[in-house]
Amino acid sequence: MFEIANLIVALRNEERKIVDNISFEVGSGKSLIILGQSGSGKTMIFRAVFGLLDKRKFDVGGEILFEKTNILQMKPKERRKIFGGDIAFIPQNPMTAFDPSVKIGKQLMETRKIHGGADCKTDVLNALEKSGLNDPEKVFKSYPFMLSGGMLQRAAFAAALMNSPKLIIADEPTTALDAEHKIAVTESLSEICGSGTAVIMITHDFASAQKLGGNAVVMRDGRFVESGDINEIMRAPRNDYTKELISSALI
Amino acid sequence: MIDLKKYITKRLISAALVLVGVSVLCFALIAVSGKDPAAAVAVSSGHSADSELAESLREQWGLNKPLYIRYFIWIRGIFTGELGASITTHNPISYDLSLYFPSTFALVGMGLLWLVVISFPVALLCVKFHGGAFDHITRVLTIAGVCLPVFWLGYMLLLFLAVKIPLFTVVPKAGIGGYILPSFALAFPSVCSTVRIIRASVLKEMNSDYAVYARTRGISEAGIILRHALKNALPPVITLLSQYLGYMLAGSAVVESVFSIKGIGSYLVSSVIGGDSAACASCIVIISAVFVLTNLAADIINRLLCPWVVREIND
Amino acid sequence: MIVIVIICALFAPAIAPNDPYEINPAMKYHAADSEFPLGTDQLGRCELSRLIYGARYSLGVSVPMIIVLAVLGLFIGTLSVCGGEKLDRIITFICDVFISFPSLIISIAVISILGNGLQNIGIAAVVSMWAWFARTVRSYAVTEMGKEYILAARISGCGTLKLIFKHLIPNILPQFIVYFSTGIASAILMVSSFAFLGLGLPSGTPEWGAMLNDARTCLYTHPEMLIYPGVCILITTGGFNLFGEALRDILSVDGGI
Repeated sequence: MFEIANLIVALRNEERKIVDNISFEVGSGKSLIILGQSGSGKTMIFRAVFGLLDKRKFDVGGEILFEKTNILQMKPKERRKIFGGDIAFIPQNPMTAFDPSVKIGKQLMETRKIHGGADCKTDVLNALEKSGLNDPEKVFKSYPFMLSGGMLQRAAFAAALMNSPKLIIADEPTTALDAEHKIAVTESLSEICGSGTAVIMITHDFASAQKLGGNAVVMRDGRFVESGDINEIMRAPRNDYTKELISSALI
Repeated sequence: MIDLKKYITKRLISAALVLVGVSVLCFALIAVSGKDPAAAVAVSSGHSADSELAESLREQWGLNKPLYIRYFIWIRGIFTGELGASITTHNPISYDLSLYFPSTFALVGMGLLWLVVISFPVALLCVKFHGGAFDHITRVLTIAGVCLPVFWLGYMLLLFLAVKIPLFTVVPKAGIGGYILPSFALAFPSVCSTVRIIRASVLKEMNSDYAVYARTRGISEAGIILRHALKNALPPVITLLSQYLGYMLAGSAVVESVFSIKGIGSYLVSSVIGGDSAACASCIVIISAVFVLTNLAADIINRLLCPWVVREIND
Repeated sequence: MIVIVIICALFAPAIAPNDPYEINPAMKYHAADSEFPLGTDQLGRCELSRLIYGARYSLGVSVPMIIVLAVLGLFIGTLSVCGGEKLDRIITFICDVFISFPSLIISIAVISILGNGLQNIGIAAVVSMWAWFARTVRSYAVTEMGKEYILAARISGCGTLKLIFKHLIPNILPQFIVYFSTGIASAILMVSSFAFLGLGLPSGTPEWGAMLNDARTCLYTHPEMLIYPGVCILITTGGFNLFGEALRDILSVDGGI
């Protein structure tokens, strides 16, 4: 359903490649965890998918196929129809992810409208309620600074789920959170996965990765050094770098 | 809302304090300059400086009282309009001011209009086509614009748009048409630096987390600029606009001289040259009061329009 | 560009082809030739020589002025931050009062008290601009004071004075120099505005603003007399602004724009 083939990301006029010829595939209802430390190039993957890399600074090569169509070849207008709709994103830090000057409800409605909601307000309120917010009306009318990190995280999930996505990409969704919320987030992700949506989680947090389960790849200097089932990797890592990562994560 | 009231009260008090400071300084100007308007008036009407006329004028204007009492008389004068007589025009100063203020007001008002109408679209286009030809040309133009002396720009406009191509007249026509060139010359440096500042701050917002997240939700660049980045960049720009309003008010002295408009600015300059410190102080106190009040208004507008900023102040 | 202007200012007598003050009514509005490369003005004075001497006035007033401003700004700004909360409040308030006047207005006021004169223009500009410098330094200093190295210096028993001179000032200097170089440009603009308005300088002085004012009568007949001085001002202020921009890029600091 979603496939990346020979993806290369490099700074223009520079030899070193930030993402060096990687390929993977995720099917509906499956999950993929991209593990790696900061600087390994893992965030560059999602940036390439969403077209966030400045064309004047970066060269992006290879193919990013969503339902057999190469996203990289699409016109911006067509791409925008997929982003936030079929492919949704969960941001790293919910506290800074929303525009501080616009009420949450309005921001969610904006996204809903783009992806063809007829009765946006009801849809947004439903989505907020579904993602576990007790008082959706209040959240709808709040500015981001009035809400806690946990509530904003739920709002971000609502934003992702309300357009019934086929793929969710989460960038370090647990890093900015405390232990309790970490568990809640990974639980929601595995629920989403269970309902037939593909999930890609980019993280350096082995505990959350294991909680989500599924396939995993370990990334270093733009390449995959190891791949396989996450539990398998954790139990018996083959690569030295992976071993190092796991043992340092346990401390 | 209680917060809001508290904030406005606080701002009002501090603005009032600043106004008092301003008035003390202006009064000091009259007192320190040491010129005796009564003597000047007496001399100009053919009497000597210590004649009875001068004496009675001193009595009438309270010039023989101690300084602090004179200050309060002067302050009362500001509110009642009795500011004494100008020694250059021989009219009551309040009459002169009421004569000249409308044209300066029109000049600055139109300048502000230019400022808002030009700088926002230009700056936003620069952001939309960041790094493109339009952006580069604007960058060069705005740097030049900040360096330009206003009076020279005024003459160049006259030279090319009134002398070479007679679109306008050198001596401005009555009515709005006469203010087009002067107000443009007055506003141009402010327009340039406003463009630069809006462009820089909106660009900064475009790199923020929420702009990235908005892109991943399929919102177009134009949508992010107009609905999100601009809104976040706005509060400092509103403060800035109020500051530039004050600069334009001061700059009117120069522009009025170029375009031979009779306004507060040219009145101020002629009263300085004529050594008329009372008229001079009155102009300054009015200009400064307008400046303080617009700044106050900008702060309150910011507070009302942008409730999310409150959090940053509290932090 | 700055270098050319500075050279002109320093060696004006050597470079200028003619005496800028020499009045020659017979030669007025002389066209450009080898003796008068840019022609002559309404009193037959050599335009180019006057322009070259003009650099002396622009830089001669604004450079000392800006140095005084810089020292004053650094002193008051750091004092405000390091001198206790009460002092800080008082200084901030005084700055607020001064900033409430547009700076051109304060200068006009000061000149009206002091009377004309080159020095007085300088004093007027200092009085009108010091508050901006002090406030800018203060805001830089407040940011720096919050950083950990200052705390570390305090803990290791560094005195206030030593703290200011050894740690604070060297650290805010780069940002300040950027602010400073744009300050020179605005100082030059201010000085020429005064000269243009006829405030501060004796008539006939070859100052660019004053020359523009002198030339206003020949808008129809000899517009080039209006163009030259303006171009000179533009080159000088542009030079300093670009210098500031370049410095900002090199030091990558956010100076005021």
